Amino acid sequence: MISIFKEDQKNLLVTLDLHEASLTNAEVFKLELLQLFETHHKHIILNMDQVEYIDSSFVGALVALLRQLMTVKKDLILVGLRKEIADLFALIRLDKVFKIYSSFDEAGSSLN
Amino acid sequence: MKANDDNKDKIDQLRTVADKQSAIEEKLDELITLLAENDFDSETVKQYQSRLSSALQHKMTIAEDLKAFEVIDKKTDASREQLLDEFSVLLEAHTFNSKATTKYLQTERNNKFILMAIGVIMITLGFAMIIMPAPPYFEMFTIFYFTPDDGVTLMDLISLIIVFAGIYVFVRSLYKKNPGAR
Repeated sequence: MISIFKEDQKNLLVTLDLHEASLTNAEVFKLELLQLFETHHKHIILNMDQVEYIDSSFVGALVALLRQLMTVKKDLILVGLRKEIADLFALIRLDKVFKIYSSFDEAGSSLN
Repeated sequence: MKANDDNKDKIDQLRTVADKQSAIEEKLDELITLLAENDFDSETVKQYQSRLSSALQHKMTIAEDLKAFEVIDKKTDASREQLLDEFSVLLEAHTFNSKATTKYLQTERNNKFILMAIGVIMITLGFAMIIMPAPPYFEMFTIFYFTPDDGVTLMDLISLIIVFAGIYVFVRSLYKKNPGAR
C-alpha cells in the first residue's frame, strides 16, 4: 500500500499506492505508515497523486497519524493531491493543519 | 367530499408525526435516565456513542455534515494540536467522501453561476426598460416632470427597482463564499 520513493537526511518520501482510500484500508494504512515512521523517525512526505477517492474514515486516519507524529516533533506532509481531494481538504478546513504541496520537490525545498 | 377526505388524511398524518416525535422524546428521556443510573466502562460508552451517532448520521445531509466543520473557522487562535483534536471529534461524528463533496461543490458553483446570470439579466432588462420608449398607457403615470415633454414615469421607477434588485442579486452571488475556495 505504501512504497518508499526516496529518503534524505530529514524526510522520508513515500507514495500511497491506492485509488480508493476508504474505511476498508484506513487501519492497514495507519499501521503501515506508523511502522515506517518507527523505523526511520523522519518527517513523512506522503504522495497521494494516485488517490481518486477518499472518505472520512481515511481522513480520520491521516489526522490520527499527524497527531501521533506531532507528539514527537515530526510532521506528515501531503503532496500531489488531486483537485477533488484538495477541494475536500479545503472544504473541511484540513488545509489549516496539514502542510500541502503540489510535489515532492516543493515540499522538500520548503522544509529545508 | 373528496377535499374533506384529503384534509382528514393530512390531519391524520400530522398527528402520526407528532406522536412519533413525542415517542422519540419519551424514549430519549428514558435512555438518559438509564444511562445516569448505571455505570459503564469507557469501551461500552464508546460503543453506545458510535451506535447512536451512526443512527443519527443517516438523517444528516452532506451540507449539514460539512457545515459542522465551520466551527474550525472560529478557532483562530487555536494551535495545530488543538485543531487536530477538534478534527478528530468532528470526523467521528460526520461522514462524507470525495464523490459527495465534489457533487456538493458543483451544485454550489452552479447555484452561484445561476444567481449571477439572473442578476445580469435583471440589470440588462431594467436598463432596457428605461432606455426603450415606454408604451403610451404608461405615460399617464408620469411622477415628476423635468419639462412638459420629459419626466420620470412609473415604468422608470419599476425599471430602477429591477436594476437595483439585479445589482443586489449579482453582488450577493459574487460575495457568496465559495465553499471550495482555498
